[in-house]
Amino acid sequence: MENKRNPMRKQDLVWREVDGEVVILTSDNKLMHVLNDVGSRIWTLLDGEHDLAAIAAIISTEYGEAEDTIKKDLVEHLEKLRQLNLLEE
Amino acid sequence: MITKQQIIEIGEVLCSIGFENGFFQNEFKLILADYDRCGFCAEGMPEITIVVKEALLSPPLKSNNTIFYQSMEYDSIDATLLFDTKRFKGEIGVAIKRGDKFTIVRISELIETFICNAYIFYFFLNGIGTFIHSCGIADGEKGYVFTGPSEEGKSTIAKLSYPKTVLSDELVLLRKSNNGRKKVYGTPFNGKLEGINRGVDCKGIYFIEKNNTNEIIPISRMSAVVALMKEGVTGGFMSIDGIQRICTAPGYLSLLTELLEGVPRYKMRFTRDSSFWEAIDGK
Repeated sequence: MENKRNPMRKQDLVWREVDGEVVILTSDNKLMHVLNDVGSRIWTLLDGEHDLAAIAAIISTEYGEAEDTIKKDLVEHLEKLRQLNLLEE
Repeated sequence: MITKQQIIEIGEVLCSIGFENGFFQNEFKLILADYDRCGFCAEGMPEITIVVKEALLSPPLKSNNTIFYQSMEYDSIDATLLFDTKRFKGEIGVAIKRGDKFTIVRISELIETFICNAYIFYFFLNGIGTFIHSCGIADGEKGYVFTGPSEEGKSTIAKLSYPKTVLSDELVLLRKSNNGRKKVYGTPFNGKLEGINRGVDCKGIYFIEKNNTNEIIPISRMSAVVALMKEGVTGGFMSIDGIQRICTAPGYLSLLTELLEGVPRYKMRFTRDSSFWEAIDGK
């Protein structure tokens, strides 16, 4: 079930995942944002169904980092995505 | 009335060019002679049709997502370009405002640019290929693409690759072949050296950078796709008004992603001698 309080990527963005990397076209289809490995994995989890804790837990499991550290980095990462206007308000 | 049509071939796709005006046809014969010498003239049933007329064309009656129309001034001539992207049929309308010694050159350039654009539409909308601003080299049946901004060394690489075959030192076609492999083809457009009509299996695409050492670094498919979207010829083509609603950026992203599947990709720093080929052969 979608939860609006959960972070979610903007629905009108075009993005592709290729070989574990994500590229996002902005709404005017001009600028491109390329996400690294972890950033790409996080992007796929920004579907509105995962809250911050759930995303941190998945990343912690998959990348072997402490969940607390990941949570802190995740907050910063999501803030950057918000500034780039890539997340739903 | 259309005079005799000439058929050209790029990437195994035929295009007919017909003229309603004998003067335009005669002047374009010089370019066609070059095409013929390099193997780009052909015979057969064309997939693309272009007619050159001595009159400006009216815009389409209603806005239509399959018709590209452009009106332009080019120094001493006015021109209108119309291309039906469903039937792959195009018309160029030319009106000479004043005759000067460059008028003929401008008309020929305009026709050649339109041919190139018609092919871009064809390959893009059929999802089979794209031109890349690059130098293409054939070593036997193996093809190599070297791409980068202007002055980064594409022509230098072509000159340093003798006796290998230069497919083009300016613009190559990367397209899917029927067996799923990706092939690189020469084109007749714009190079310092002449291109040649030949297609070979693409064994690698190299993003070049002049340097004082040779170094070849693998890069991800996505990095290559993004670099091509920013640098590739189709990127410039898609900045033309009216193109984006026909050839969309998401569509181009998907096409490039497919074209680069299975094609090795590298950043290549190279010195101004042929030793970079040893580095490539060592990979």
